This record gives sequence, C-alpha cells and structure tokens, in this order.
Amino acid sequence: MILLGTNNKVLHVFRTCILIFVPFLVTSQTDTTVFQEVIIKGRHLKIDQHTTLNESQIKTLAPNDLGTLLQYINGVTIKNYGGIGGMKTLSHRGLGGEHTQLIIDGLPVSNPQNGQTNLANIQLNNVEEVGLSHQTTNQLIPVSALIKGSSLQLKTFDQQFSRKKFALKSSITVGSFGQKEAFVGIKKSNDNAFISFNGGSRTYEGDYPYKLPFGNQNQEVNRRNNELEDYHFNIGSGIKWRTHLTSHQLKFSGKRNVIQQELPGAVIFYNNLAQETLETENTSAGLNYSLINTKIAFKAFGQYSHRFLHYHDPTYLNSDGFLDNQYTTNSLEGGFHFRYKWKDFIFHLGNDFGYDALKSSRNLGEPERQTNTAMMKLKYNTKYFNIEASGFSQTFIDQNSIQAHRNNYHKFHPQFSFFTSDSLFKGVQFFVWYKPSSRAPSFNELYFSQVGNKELVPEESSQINLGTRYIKTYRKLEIQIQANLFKNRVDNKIIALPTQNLFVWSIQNIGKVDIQGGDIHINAKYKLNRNWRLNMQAGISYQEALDISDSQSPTYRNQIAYTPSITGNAMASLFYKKTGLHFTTLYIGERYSLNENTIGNLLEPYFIMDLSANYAFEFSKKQKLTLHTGVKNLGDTSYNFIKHFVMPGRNYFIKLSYEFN
Amino acid sequence: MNLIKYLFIFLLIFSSCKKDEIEPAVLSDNFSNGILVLSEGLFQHNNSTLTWINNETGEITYDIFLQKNERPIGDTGNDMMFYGGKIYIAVTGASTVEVLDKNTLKSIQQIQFDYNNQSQEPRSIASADGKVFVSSFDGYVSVIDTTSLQITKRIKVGRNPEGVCISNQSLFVANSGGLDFQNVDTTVFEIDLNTLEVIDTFVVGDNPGSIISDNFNNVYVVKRGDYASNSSELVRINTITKEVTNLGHAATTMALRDNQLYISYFNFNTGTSAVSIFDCFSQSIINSNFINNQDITTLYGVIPYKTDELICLDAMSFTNTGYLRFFNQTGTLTNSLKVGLNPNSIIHYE
Repeated sequence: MILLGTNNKVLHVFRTCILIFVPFLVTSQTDTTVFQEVIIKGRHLKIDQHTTLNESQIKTLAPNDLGTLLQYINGVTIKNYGGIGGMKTLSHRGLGGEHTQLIIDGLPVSNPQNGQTNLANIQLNNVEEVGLSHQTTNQLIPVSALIKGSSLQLKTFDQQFSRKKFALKSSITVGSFGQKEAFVGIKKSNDNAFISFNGGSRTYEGDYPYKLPFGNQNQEVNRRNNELEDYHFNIGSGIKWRTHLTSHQLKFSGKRNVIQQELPGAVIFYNNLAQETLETENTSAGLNYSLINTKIAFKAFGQYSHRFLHYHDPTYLNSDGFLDNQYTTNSLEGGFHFRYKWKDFIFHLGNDFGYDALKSSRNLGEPERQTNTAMMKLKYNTKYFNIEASGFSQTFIDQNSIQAHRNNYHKFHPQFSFFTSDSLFKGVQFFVWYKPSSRAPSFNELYFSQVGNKELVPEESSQINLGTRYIKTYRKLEIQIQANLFKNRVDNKIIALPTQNLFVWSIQNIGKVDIQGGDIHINAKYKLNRNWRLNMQAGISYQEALDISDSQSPTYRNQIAYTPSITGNAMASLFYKKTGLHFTTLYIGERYSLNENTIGNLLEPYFIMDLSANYAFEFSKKQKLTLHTGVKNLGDTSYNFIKHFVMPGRNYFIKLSYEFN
Repeated sequence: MNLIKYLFIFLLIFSSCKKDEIEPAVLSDNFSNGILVLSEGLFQHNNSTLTWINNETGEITYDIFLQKNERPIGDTGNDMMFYGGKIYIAVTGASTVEVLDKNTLKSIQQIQFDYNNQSQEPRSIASADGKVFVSSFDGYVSVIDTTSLQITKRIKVGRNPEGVCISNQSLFVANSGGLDFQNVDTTVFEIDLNTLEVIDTFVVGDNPGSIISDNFNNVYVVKRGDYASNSSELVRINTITKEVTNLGHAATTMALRDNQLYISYFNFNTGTSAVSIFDCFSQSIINSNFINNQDITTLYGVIPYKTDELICLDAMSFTNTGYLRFFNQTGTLTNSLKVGLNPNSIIHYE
C-alpha cells in the first residue's frame, strides 16, 4: 500500500481493470462465454475512426472509384489492375482483401464467390464519407464486420435524413480516353421521412497509350479491349418516430448496378489479341432499423443480394471455340447489434447470420454456406482509461451436393483494447489493441474446377497495434499526428500454387506470413484569414510482410508478392474564397510479382502526381455550380502495380457539378 | 508547404534508389562448349528466358536472349529445338515461334502464330526433311520451311495437340484436348511426311502429352489422365503392327539416349520426383529409381547429357527460380546450377 496516495485514482482504475479482465481471460479458454473486443472512445479524443475522408476531400481527389480513393488512406495497398473499370482490391497491413469488410450505410457488401469486393465497381458520386476502422467502434455496425481485420464504411447521400425539404446533386464528367459520366441524385425529406433516388452511368473507351519496356527501349502501344459501360441506380427511403424518450428509425435501400466491360488482361508481348468480356450485375435490397434512448441502442438489418457474373472468351481454344461461364450468387444476411449503458460500463451484444448460395454454368455443384458471427463486448470507461474486452464466435458451415465436406468450422476469438484518455496526457492519446479473426475460403477457392480444394480451412489472422495520436491547435493552425506500430500474423494462408504442371493449380492452406510495420500520418489545417485556407496531409507506411511458411523454401523470409514495403501519399489543398487548388501525390515502393524476391520479379516503384482546381459559383444560398478540372498522372509516369497490367499515363478531366439544397 | 516539400524530396530519394542493374557481360558471337537453357517462366508474366552456361568458365549468363536481341522472348517458351544451324522456340503465350542463329543467338525471324487474328499458341516442335513441324493449341500442326522460314501448310489434327515426334516417314502428334477438361482428347495422329496428311489415328488414353520415338519402330506417349484417379502413364504404339499398349509405368516426360528411354515422373500428391530407365531393345525397365528423390524439389523433365550423365530439370515448386541438377552414371548428384523460372529444354553445345 506504499503506492497509495499520489496515484491513488490511477491505481484504482488499474486494479478495477484487472478485476474485470481476469474472469474474461479465464473463461475465454473454456467455452461459449463470449466477451468482447475493444474500441474506445476517449473522454475528449474521439478515436472511433482511424482514418476518414469526408465529402470535400473525396471531391478534391476526384477519384474514379472507391479503389482509387483508398490509395490515399494510410496502410491500405490497392492492387490495381487498370484505369477505369480495372479491378481494384484492397490489402491492409499485409492482410488480404478478404480480411476487410465493406459496409455501405450500415449494410455489409460481400462477395462470397471471390472473397473480395472489386472496389472499381463502387462509385463515389453519392458518397459523403469514407472511413477505415481497424478497431471496433461504438457504432452499431454489423458484428460480421467488427470481427474482420478492418472495416471500410461508406455513408451515402441516399440514406441520410435531412432537414432540407429537397436536395439535388448532379454532375457530368468528361475525361481522357473516352471517359463520360453523368450522375443525378434527388432526395425529398420532411421532418420524419425521406425518399431518395440516384442514378448514373459511365462509359469509358480505355484506349490509353502505354510504354512497354522492350529490352533497352520503350515501345508505345495502345491498350485495347478495354471498353466499359456501367449503369447504376439506388433508391432509398426512411422514416423516424418517437415513443416517449426513445427514437426509432427505419430505412430501406435498393440498389442495382450493371457493368459490361471488355477485359484487356495482362499485356502479353507480341500478342495483343485479347477479346474477353465480363458482365456484372449486382442487385440488393436491405432494411435497417435502429432504436436509441439514453440507456439502450439497438440496430437490426436484413438484406438480400443477387450477383450475376458472366465471363466470355470467344478465342478460347477448346472444342466449342469459346469459353462462357456464368455464375449467380444469392445471399441473405441479417443481424442485430444491441448496446446497453450502465454507469461507466457499456455492454454490447450482437449476432449476424448469412446464407450464400452459388449456381454456375460450370461443373461446381451448388455450393452453399452458412456463416454466423456472435459477439459480446464489455467496455469500461474511466477518467483516464477506456478498456474493452470482447469475444467473437465465428461459424462457417459449407455444403455442396456433389461432394463430401470438411467439418464445420467454429472458432472463438477474444479481442482486447486499451486506450488512454485526454485527461491522462493533454492532447495525446495512447492505445493498444489485439484483434484475431478468421476468413472463410471463397467459393472460387473451394470449388474452382480441378484446382479447388474442399479441404480448405479458413485463413486466420491476428493483429497487435500500438498507437498514439496527438492533436494540437495553435491559433490558426490545427495539427493532428497519428502513428502506429503493428505486428500481424497470418496462418493457414490460402494460396494458389501450380501442381502437376503450370496448367493445373491447386489452392492450399499452407502459407504463414509474419508482418510488422508502422505508419505515421500528419494532418494540418491552416486558416490564414477569411479568404485563405490551407489543408495538408501526408502519410507514410512501412511494412515487412515475410513468408515464413517453410524454412526450406527459397522464399523463406522473402517479402510476399505485391506487398510494397513503403507506401506514401500527400495531399495539399489551397483555398482562396471560392477557388481551390489541389495537389496530391502517391508513392508505391518496390514490390515483387512472386514471393521469390529476385530481380526478375521486381516491380519498379512509382510516384504519381495529380493536380486539379475548382471554382464554385454560388447563385444563391441553395444553389451551387462547381467546375472542377485537373490532370492526373501529371508526370506521365508509365507504371503498373500488378505486373503487366499497365495504367494510364497523363490524363485530363473536367467535371461540372450542380447542387441544390 | 515545407512539410510537403520534404516529403517529396524524401520520396524522390526513395524512388531513385533503384537496385543496380547487372551489367551485361561481353558475349562472343560464336557460342560453343556450353548449355543453352529455355525457362518458360510463368503464364502471363512474359518472363520466359534463355540462360547460357559456359562450360569452360562456369559462368552463367541470365536472359541472354534479351541481351542479344534487345527484346524478351515473351510469355511461356514451351519447347526448343536445334535443327540445321538454327534454334526454334515455340512461345505459347506470345503465340510466336522464334528462330535463332545457333552460333550468335540472334533472332533471324519471329514467326507470328495468329492465324485469322486469333492466337494459335504453339506448343512443341519436331523436324525432318528440311521442315520444322509445330503443334499449336488451336488444333493444327504448322509446317515451316527452314529456308524461307514461312508457314507453308497447316495440317488439321485433334484437339490442343502437345507433343510431336518423327518416326520413320511419319510425324506423330499427341492430341491432348486439355482445354476441354473433363472431356479430353485421347488420340495420337500419324501424319505422312510426304503427303502431309493424317493417315492413322491411335487411341492411347486420356490427355496425351509428351511423345518420343525409338529406333525399333515404337512411339511412346504419356497419357496424363486427369491428374487424379486416372494416373499419368506410359503408352507404347508399335508403328508397324499398329498395336497400342499401356505399359502401366508412371511418367511425365521422356528423353532417349543409346536405346534407353529416360523417364521423369513427379507425383504431386506425395511431392516425390523419380527418374526411371527403360530399355527399348528388351522393352523392360532396367532401373526404376535412378536418382535420390531428396535431390530434387519438383522434377520437370530429364535430359541425357554427354555420354553417361543426366540433367534433371528442377522447377522448384513452379514459382521459384529453377535449377539444372547434374547426375553421374550412378545417379549421384554432382552439380546444381540456378537457371530461370521453370526450365523445360536444353541444347548442349559441344
């Protein structure tokens, strides 16, 4: 008791934490007692979202799609297969895209067939906020997303209640290589309800020139078979009402997206004859209900989605003379998330259930999957600390009429977090969290013709993060710095390998990856006077993601394929009255096309700069017309993230937007 | 703004810190006493290469095709053959046949295989009577005149032909049908070298691949089956009696020296590599396990070297740089040389 006295309060908190945690640590080993993961909202510093891009930042970047945008979020690597329409998938801190869950307006978006969502198919005209969160948050997001390595949350115009009776957003964009886009969104609201509609289309010819390194020289070739046509529309509606001190909301969302595109594939030297096409149709309808009062918050959702994929290769050299594959996936998902507040404790409980079924024109049977995620979480807030413990239970049940299957998979994952609050150190926050998770093999991995492997078990990841955040305001300057150190691990990594020969591949659970790294992100806002403002942000991230599967293999402790050790980005926006000038840069470091880190597999680093300017004409308080024009890849850099999937050189765009509020 | 400036400088420094490129060695224009190795690379990686091993100095020159021709071979060089002072390489992904001068390794001609604006995907090469025969996945064998280096005839064969070989006055073509998985081809076609027409068909089993002839009027073909219960086995065609016999011997590829057939077999399920020797005169296996399985990771082929040595091609799980592994007459590993990704053919320069 010598310590009693000065640090009495801190000690008390510390003891309390230990007392709270001990039963969790004990029970987590044994059985179904599910406790929870950790997120924390500091008393003063809000730590919910790790990184957020708001509507004006999104507009500044004028991204073609969600994938392009996410390159500017620290720690995210986008595997980029082309310009507009080129597939883009995400890898976060060395974990594959399957470990990140995309959520749009509280509804999860998944792709059980491929395991990861193609971020090139998500456009941002109606998006008001994009956030990436590693840690669980206080928000009542679906628990199937909380268990994932990270979650990506989008908030759209179509699903927000508004005080404005009528709102309209519209834009027309014209860009290089035949880019044409049009978008219109309207929302009609009153005090208790809204109804919204938005729709858009885009076309792209994609015949951009690229330089092909040819021995010691470069050859300039035009990309071909790269056209795209895309239509999408969404409808939304919502009502809200009150009973005593409780408010309720019910929202409906319906979406449809049809994309027809040519697939240019990798550039193949001397053979520029690709003719493959892909048709994608995504349709979904979902309901979201939420209830909130001073003690209780509750959210429930239900969703049906239908995905259709049609691949066609008219030059395939089989006896039909073409390859035509069609896949239909139907999914049902539903879940709830409940939060109860009692004194300094917050208790969460939630469960998500999903059912996916795939039908195809191939001989894959009719695979089905049931997924269940259950969660309990307890959080304790004190003046100096927030501490949180949670337990997740993940279950995957796979069935397919044509084959016997592995046993059902069940795993319990405890997650923890600890955050200091602003009261402990002024303007500074420290946090540490631990997050394990499993991801199920996709239908493709399980059943892909002769290469599938029905014995596959889910891939398991774990992340430990140590971070700090510093916020300081000096008069007109506001600075925010965030830094993290992380250590991740992937076990039973699912990888594809050639087996008998180069035509017969197999998908196996043999990988182990050891990842460590760190990132630092600085955000500064400077308001000089009424007319001039400057916003800047810069981030750099380092990651060592080493293959530790087999100490006898030549790739032992080599950096895994397509994982740059260094990535960096910077953005600066200068505003003068209604004019904005924006400069953004992106640096992607060296990476390898295969796990063996040889010169032959090395891909050069690249550095991309975009420059744009906008001017807003405000006719009235309600009406605004904005002209935004710019040049992307200013330096005309010839680059590719994925070997031989070439990216466009310097290109231009002009965008005219009209908004009525 | 300073912050941004420094960040740029920092990034520029990073981006300019390229690894030093290996300086190309000064190479003679008269290659001799060495081994030329074709590595096919990986599908869609455009990384097929030629490696030169100088037997005198022991020096290895990687990607010598690029150095000599200032352009790459392209995607998936699948087969290489020496005939009449020239080297022919069938490049499947690029859909070309490269013709090189054997002494200088300079390309004499790159023959496009894109009949009717469609890639034909050439696979294997055989030669006879001043002609080179190239099978291609579109179901044809193309006849190349070795003087004009033009395709003079396209002969329709079965589905997705793979291996080709000459026996007496006939060309034998193994039709795999491998792109119709679950409904593969099962035949070997015989083409008369004089009329260049198909004169006979042999049913040998599912998915025929590698093919070779001996000096006793036999043709041996590997029927690869379905890589599962229907296993990869050696089948003999007697070209005189037209009799087809499944020898029941596990095989992936074959090569011939002194009437002995060297057979490589890689069993993926067990991860084992085996080389066996079949005597064509007595028609019997004289050694069913010539090398130590531990010496090789992924056996991709076997090639007799000099009078009594063997070179085994080690594909190193197909995604890592491959090796040539040299074995002596007792089957002992004597040397290993790192070459390229998935080595599949060699030419020995005396």
